Amino acid sequence: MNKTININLAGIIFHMDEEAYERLTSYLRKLKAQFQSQDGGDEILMDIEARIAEIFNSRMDGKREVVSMADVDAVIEIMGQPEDYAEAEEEETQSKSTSSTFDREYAGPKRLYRDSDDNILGGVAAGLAHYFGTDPIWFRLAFIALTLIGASAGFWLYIILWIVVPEAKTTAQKLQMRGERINISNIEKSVKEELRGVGKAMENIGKDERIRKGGKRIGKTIEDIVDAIISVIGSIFRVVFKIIGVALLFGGVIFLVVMFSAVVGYGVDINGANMGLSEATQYLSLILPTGYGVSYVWIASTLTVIFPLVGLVVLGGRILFNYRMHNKMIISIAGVTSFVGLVMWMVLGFATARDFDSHETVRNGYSLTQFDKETAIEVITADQNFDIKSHSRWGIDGDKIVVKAVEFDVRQTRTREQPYIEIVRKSQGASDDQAEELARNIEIDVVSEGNRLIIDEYIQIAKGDKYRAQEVDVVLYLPVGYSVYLSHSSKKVVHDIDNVRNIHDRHMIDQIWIMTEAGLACADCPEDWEAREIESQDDWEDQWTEDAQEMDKQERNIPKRPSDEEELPSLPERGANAAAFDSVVITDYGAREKLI
Amino acid sequence: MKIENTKAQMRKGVLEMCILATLKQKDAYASDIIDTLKEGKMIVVEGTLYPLLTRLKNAELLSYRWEESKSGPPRKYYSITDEGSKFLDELQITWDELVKAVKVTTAKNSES
Repeated sequence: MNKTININLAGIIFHMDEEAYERLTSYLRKLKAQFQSQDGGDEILMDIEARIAEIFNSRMDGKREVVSMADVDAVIEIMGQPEDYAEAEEEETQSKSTSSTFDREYAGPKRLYRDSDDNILGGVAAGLAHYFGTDPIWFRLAFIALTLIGASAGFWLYIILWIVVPEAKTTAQKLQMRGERINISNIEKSVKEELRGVGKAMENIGKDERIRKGGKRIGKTIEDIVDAIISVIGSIFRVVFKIIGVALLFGGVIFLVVMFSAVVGYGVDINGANMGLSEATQYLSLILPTGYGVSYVWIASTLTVIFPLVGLVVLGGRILFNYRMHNKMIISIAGVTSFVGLVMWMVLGFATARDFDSHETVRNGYSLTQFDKETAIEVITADQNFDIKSHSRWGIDGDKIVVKAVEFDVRQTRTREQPYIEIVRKSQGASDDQAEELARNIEIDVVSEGNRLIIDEYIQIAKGDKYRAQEVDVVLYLPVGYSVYLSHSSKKVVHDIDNVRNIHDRHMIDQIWIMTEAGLACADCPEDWEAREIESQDDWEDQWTEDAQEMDKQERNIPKRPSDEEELPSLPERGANAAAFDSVVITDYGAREKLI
Repeated sequence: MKIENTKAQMRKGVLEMCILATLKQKDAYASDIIDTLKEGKMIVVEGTLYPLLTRLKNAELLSYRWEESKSGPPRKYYSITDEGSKFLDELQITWDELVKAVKVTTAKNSES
C-alpha cells in the first residue's frame, strides 16, 4: 500500500506515488531555476508542465490511475535533463557574447561552487572570490588571518566549506559559479523577484477563471482559486524566508566581526580584569589543570562550535542561495565532533576540580619587639605599583602573577607579653604536598618600619606556579594594653576585625583601637560616635553580639601552640621575603590545618 | 573536442529555421513540431524546444492560439507570422549559400 498525492498539472488532476511526486517536484524545481531569470521563463515552464501532463495522460491511457516513478522517469527521458537545457542556454549566451569565454555576465542565478581550476587546496577561496567578484587572494589571506588570530577558526571554516560547497564540474556549473555578482542590489532584486511572484500568483486567480470558463470547466474553478490562493501564500512565505536568509547571513557576519574585534581589539571583561586575547591565554594557562594546555581549550571550543556553525552555513545557504545538502553524513559528523568537544569540556572540568581538591595552610610567626604600650602600631598598606590595571583583582606583572588576596586581622594574645604577627599562607592543589608547596611559594612582604607595620596588598606568585586560589591572612596578635592605629590606607586589607561593639570594618578605619580583656575597643572615637553607630541595634542583639564575641575569644585561645614558648624571629627585610622565609623554619608551627 | 558537441552545434544553428519551415507548411501543436524534428533527428529531448518556441514567439516570428485537447490540457497551436515568413526566406537564402559554400570547399578538399 502506498500513499498517493494529488497534483494539478496544467489544470489536470493526477494521483501520484509519493516518491514519483518527489522526483517530479525536484525536476521542475531545477527547470525553474534554469528559466526563472530569462524572459518568458514562467511561460516556458507552463508549456513544459502542459506537455508533461499530456505525456502522463497518454501513459495512463484510462487504465491506470496512479502516476508511478517509471512514468516520471519516462517524462524526464523525453523532456531531457536540466543539464541539457543548461547547455542549450549556454550556446545562446555564447552566441550573443563577443568577448572571451568567461568574461561575459552569466544571466542565470549565481551559485557558490569550489573552483578546482584555480585551487591551492579545495578551491574554496577561488569559488568565494568568483561569488563575490573579487580576487581569491583576499579570501586566502582572510582564512590564514582567521586561523592565526581567531583560534584556528579559519581552518575549520575552510574545512566546512570544502565539505559543504560542491565542486564546479560541468561547464554549466562553471558558468553559474562566475555568474552575476552577489551584492546588496542583487539580493534586493532577488527579493523583488519573489515579490513579483506574489503579484503574478494573484493575477492568475483572475486569468485561470477566464480560461476555465472558456474551456467549459466551470466545475473546477473553485478548486483553481483555492490553488491560486495557496500559491500566493506560498510566495509570501518564500519572500519572508528570503528576508530571513538575508538577515541570517548579514547578522551572522556582523556578529562574528563584532565578536572577533571585541576579543582581539577591546578585550573581554573577566572578573573585573579587562584583558586582550593574548593576556586571556596567559590567565587561562594559569588556571588550567596540570597537563592541559591552552590548545586543549581551543580544540575543545572549536570542536564544540562546529555543529552550530555547520548548521548556520547550511541554513543560510539553503535559504538564500538555494543550496541543498546532499549528504546527511556531514551533519552527523558535525554532531559527533560537537559531542567530542563537550566530553573534552567535562574532562577538563573534572581535572580542574581535582586540581583544586586539597587545601593546605602554612603558618609563620614573627615577633614585634620594638613596639610598646605607649604608642599605637600604625597599620598601612604598601604601595606596590604593579604594572596592572588599577583596581584589578589580579594581573600579570613581568614574571609574577599578582593577586589581591591579603586579609588583615587583629586578635588578642593571652600567652605572650609582646605583640607578634602571624602570616598564614593558604593554597589549594591536586595533592596535599602540591598545595603546601604552592602555599610556601607565595611571596608577600610584611615589614615594620619604626612605628609602622607595612603590609602588601597583593601577593605574588611565580609565573611557573599555577593559580590555585592562593591567599594570605596577616594576623596581628596584641596582648592586653597594646593598641593599633588602622590608617586610611589599611582599609585595602582590613578584613572583618572583631571588636567589642561589633562595628563594621569601614568605621574602624582612621581610629585607634586598644586591646582590652573583652577585645578591641575604640580609644579615640568621638563621644557620640559609639552611640550613633549602635543606636540602631536592639538591646538583645547587642547582648547577643557580646556573648558571641566572648565565646569566639575563648575558642580562639584554646589551642596552645608549641611556638608560644619559642623565641620568634623578627620580621624579614622588605624584598627579602622569599629567602628569609626558608631561614625561619623554626617559626613554622608545622601545624597543617586542614580546611573544610 | 568532441564530435558530438560539434554535431549538436550544427543542428542547433539551423533549428530555428527548421521550426519556422515546419510551421510554414501548416499550423501545428508543439508536439507535432517535436515529432517532425525528431524524425529529422534535429533534437534529442523535447524540453529544449519550449524555450526556443517562446523566444520565437516573443520575437513575433510565431503566434499561437489555444485549442482544446481530448487527451489533456488545452494546447498551444502555433502558426508563423508574416514577419516569420520573411525571416524564414532570409534564412533559406543564407542556408542555400551555406550549402553551396560547404559543397565547394569539401569538393576542393576531395580533389586535392
